[in-house]
Amino acid sequence: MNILEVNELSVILGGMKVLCEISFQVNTGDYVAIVGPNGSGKTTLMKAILGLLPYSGSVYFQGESRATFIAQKSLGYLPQRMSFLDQRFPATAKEIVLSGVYAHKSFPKKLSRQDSDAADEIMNTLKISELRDRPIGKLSGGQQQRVLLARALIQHPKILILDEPTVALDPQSREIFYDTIQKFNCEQHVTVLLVSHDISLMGEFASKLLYLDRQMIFYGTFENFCQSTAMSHHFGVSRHLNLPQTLNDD
Amino acid sequence: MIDLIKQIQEAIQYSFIQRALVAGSFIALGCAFLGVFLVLRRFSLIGDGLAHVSFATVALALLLDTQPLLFAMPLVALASLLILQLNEKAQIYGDTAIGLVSSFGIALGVLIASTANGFNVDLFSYLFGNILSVSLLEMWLSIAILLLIILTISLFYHDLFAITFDEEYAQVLGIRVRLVNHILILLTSLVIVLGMKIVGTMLISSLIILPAVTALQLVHSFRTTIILAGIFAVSSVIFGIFISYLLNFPSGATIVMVNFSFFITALLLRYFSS
Repeated sequence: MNILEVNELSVILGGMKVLCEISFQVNTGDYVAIVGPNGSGKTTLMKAILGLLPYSGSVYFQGESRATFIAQKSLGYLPQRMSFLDQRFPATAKEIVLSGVYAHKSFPKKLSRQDSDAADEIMNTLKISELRDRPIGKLSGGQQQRVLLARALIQHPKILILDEPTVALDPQSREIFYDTIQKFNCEQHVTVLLVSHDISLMGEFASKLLYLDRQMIFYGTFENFCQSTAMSHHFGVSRHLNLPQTLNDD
Repeated sequence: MIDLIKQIQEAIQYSFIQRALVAGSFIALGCAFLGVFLVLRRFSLIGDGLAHVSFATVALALLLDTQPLLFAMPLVALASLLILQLNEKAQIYGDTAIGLVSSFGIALGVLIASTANGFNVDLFSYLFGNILSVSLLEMWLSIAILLLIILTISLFYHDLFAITFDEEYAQVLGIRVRLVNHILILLTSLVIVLGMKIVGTMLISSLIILPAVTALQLVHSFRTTIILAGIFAVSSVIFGIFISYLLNFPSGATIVMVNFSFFITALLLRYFSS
């Protein structure tokens, strides 16, 4: 069953077409990695799907509009690591995690005991319970990212959208982070849509790859990606067979 | 010491001091509460920008011989929306948009003041503030605006928190970011206009910035930061008014200096505790 359906999505920014008629479908339980070179439009595609940028075409979540889907607590989002995060921002890790429940609250929004329990539960699952009363700005990059992941997962979303979540993490934190995501994907069947520049690492975790270069070059499994004629044409045969370890940042 | 207490007791008997204490505390509280959101969103200089626009509107009101604050409120509110529009639609950076509107406001004020003689003394009191001349109407307005600010923050607290921490994520959550931003800026414009009487257009942004930035040195919880900023703001007004009364200092500048001393103390406390 399709959880996400993107039809002929195009984005024009500053008079320039940065994404051209992208169409793809994501099945429930898929782990899709969106990869591509620098400036290929990976983050732009993610932001358009999330409604953060104007676009033409259509985006449906389980056949419904984004707003309806969000209201049903079904979407979790983890932005790129917040390098702009103010080190003195006056909020504890738990306050940040709790902000993930605001989507389904009606005006005026109020937090309940159940919300607090849900925050404790997800922090416990992600093994960050000891961070609950620590200021967010005082945490390490890896810890901050896990707190933001807890914020995205607190409502037990059906789909989790992540935008280069490990860009500033050390290799150990990165591995722990991807293991956690995979666990949620395998055990709780959370659909994952992840932007990454690390194509080889994505081969390890993702069930499907979407290769983007302003238009969709390839969409399918990693095995098919390695044998794809479209990719051979795009890279040139010799480069395609020696897959790049890492593609540049978006 | 007993003499000092006697002098303070004597000061409290005066109705102009009572009005100054009430209006000053309420405006300072409003500025501090909004200041926490504005400072964290790096929008704190909007106080300065809107104060300069207020200067122009007060000059115009004095020229037209109308009540300056009531005349200024809608015009400054419009200017605040213009800053947001410039920021959003014309894709001009927030600080640049503030700078544009601010310089336009001060230039217009100077031009109006230069074309008319006879009201420059009144205009001067808005430039540097004159809390001891707060009228009954201004006192009631300051109470009403603080109540409006508290009500708004209570109703939109979680939205404001989410937007302040991560505006993009708030948008994904379906929070009406634009609406909340407009409400925040409109309230700021109202409190700025009234704050002119307390510390003047030159110093009003200090009431927005200093209590918030002082509280940020000491606490790590969002709610506590707002409460602590309010406590610093009210304390600075009360101490400032009495110190200025006892030492015959200008009250606006004294309030700002008390605020600044709180900030330095908090900074030292944080430095030595870490």
